[in-house]
Amino acid sequence: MRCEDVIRELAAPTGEPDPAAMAQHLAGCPECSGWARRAAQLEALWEATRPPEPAPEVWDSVWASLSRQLEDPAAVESLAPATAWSSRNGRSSQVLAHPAPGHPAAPRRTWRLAAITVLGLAQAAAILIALGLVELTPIHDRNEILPKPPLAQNEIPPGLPTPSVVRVAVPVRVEADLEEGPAVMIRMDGPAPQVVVETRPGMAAGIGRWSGVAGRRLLRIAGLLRAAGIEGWSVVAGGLGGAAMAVQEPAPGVDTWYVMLNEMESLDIPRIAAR
Amino acid sequence: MPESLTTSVQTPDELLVRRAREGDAAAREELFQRHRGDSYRVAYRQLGNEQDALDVVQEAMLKAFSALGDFDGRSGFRTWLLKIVTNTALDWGRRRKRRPNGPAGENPDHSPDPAADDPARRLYQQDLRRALDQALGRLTPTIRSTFVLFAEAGMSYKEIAEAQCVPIGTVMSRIHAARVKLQADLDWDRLNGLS
Repeated sequence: MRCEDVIRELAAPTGEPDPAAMAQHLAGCPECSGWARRAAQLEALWEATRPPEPAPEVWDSVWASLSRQLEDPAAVESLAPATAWSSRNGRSSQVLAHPAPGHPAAPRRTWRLAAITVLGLAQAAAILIALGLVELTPIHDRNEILPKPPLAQNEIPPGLPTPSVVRVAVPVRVEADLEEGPAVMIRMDGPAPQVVVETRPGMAAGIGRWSGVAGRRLLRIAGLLRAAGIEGWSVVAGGLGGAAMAVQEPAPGVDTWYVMLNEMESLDIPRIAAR
Repeated sequence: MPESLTTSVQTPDELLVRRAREGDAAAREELFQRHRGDSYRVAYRQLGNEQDALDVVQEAMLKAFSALGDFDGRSGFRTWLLKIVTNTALDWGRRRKRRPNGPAGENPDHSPDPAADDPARRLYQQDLRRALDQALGRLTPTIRSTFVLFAEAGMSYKEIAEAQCVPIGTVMSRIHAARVKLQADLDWDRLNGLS
C-alpha cells in the first residue's frame, strides 16, 4: 500500500483497504505509524475533553424559555434577564431576524455557478463586490450578498486607465467560503468592480499545477472567454486549499499573480493586474 | 417464577415530529430532551464556550420547532436538527469572535464537573480542553463543523454530506484536512499522558 492511501484511510476510514495490508505497511513505515499514533492521540484527547453536560436546572431554564418563545413569539422582547445566561434571550429576536446592519432584509441569492452559466451571466448577473460596494458573507453553503452603501467617489484612486482591467491599489475585501478549485473572474473596467466565482464542489486542488483538473478548467474558461469575445475579464486562480500559495506558473490567458485562498473568511486583495 | 422481561421502546422521532406539528407540547419537549445533549456538544465544539453553546442550542431549537413543517423526513430528524445547530453556531461565530470559557478556562456554574473534587485533575482537563479548543479555533468554520459532526455527533459521511449539501468526497477531504491540521497544531509533548 502507498503511504498516501494509508494516511487517507486513517484520516477518513472507509473500511475498504485490507486491514492486514494496512498493518503490514504501518509496521514497516515510521512516517505512517507516527501519523497513526498521532491520530490515536487526537482521538484520546477528543474523548478526554468531551464537554460535560449542563446541569438539569440549566436545561429546565432553557426549555422554559424556549416554550415561552414558541407559544408567544412576541414575548421574546419582554423576557427579563433572570440569570446570567437567560439575559441573552433579549437578543434572540434580533438574531433570528438577521437584519443587515442599517438595511432592511436584502434580496439574497446563491451564486454557485457552472462554467457555461458564468459566461451567460458575465454581462448581466455578475456579482458586485469589493471596494466596499457589496460584501459577500458566507452563510451555510451559500454565499449571500448583503448590499452596502456605495463608497464615495473620492475613495477610488483617480487617473486609473480605462476601459481594460485596471491595476488598483485599493484593497478589495472578499469574505467567501470557497470549495477547493473554483475559478475567479474579476472585471474592473465597469462602474463597479465585478467578481464572479465559479464553484463546483469536489474539484481537486492544485491550481498551481496546470496539468491538474482545476488548472485545465481555468484554461478552458479563459479560452471560452476569448472565443466569445468577452473582453475585460481576468481569469485567476482560486481555492487552493488551506495551505495554498500563490500560483507562479504562467499560463495563456490566466492571470497568475492573484490567489484566493479558500477556506478563509476574508482576504484583502492588494492589486488587480491590468491586461 | 421466571423474571418477566420488559423492554422499553422509544417513540420514533418521526412520530414525535408529527405529533409536535399537531401542537403536542409533550412531543416537542421529548424531542428537546432527546436531542439537547448532542446539540449542545456540537455547538460547544464549534464555539468553545459553554454560554454560547447554550444560546445556540436554544436558538437552533427555536428555529427547528418553528420550521417543523419544512422537515420532509428524507434525512433523520437528528441529522436535520444538527444541521440547524451547526449553521446557527456558524452564524453565531461570525457575529461573535470565538472566545474561551471564563477566566483561565474555568467552567461557569452551568456544568457539573466530574473532576471538581480533584483540583489537579480539573486543571489538567482544563488544560487539555483549552489546547483542543484553541486548535479547533484555528480551523476554518467549514472544516471545523464537518469534523465536529463526524467526531462529536458520530454522523456518517453520508449524513454529513446531506447536512452540508456537498458530495461525500468533499466531506472526507474536509475531515482529512481537519485531522492533518489538528494533529500538526497540537503540542503532543506537552499533552503527555495521552496514548
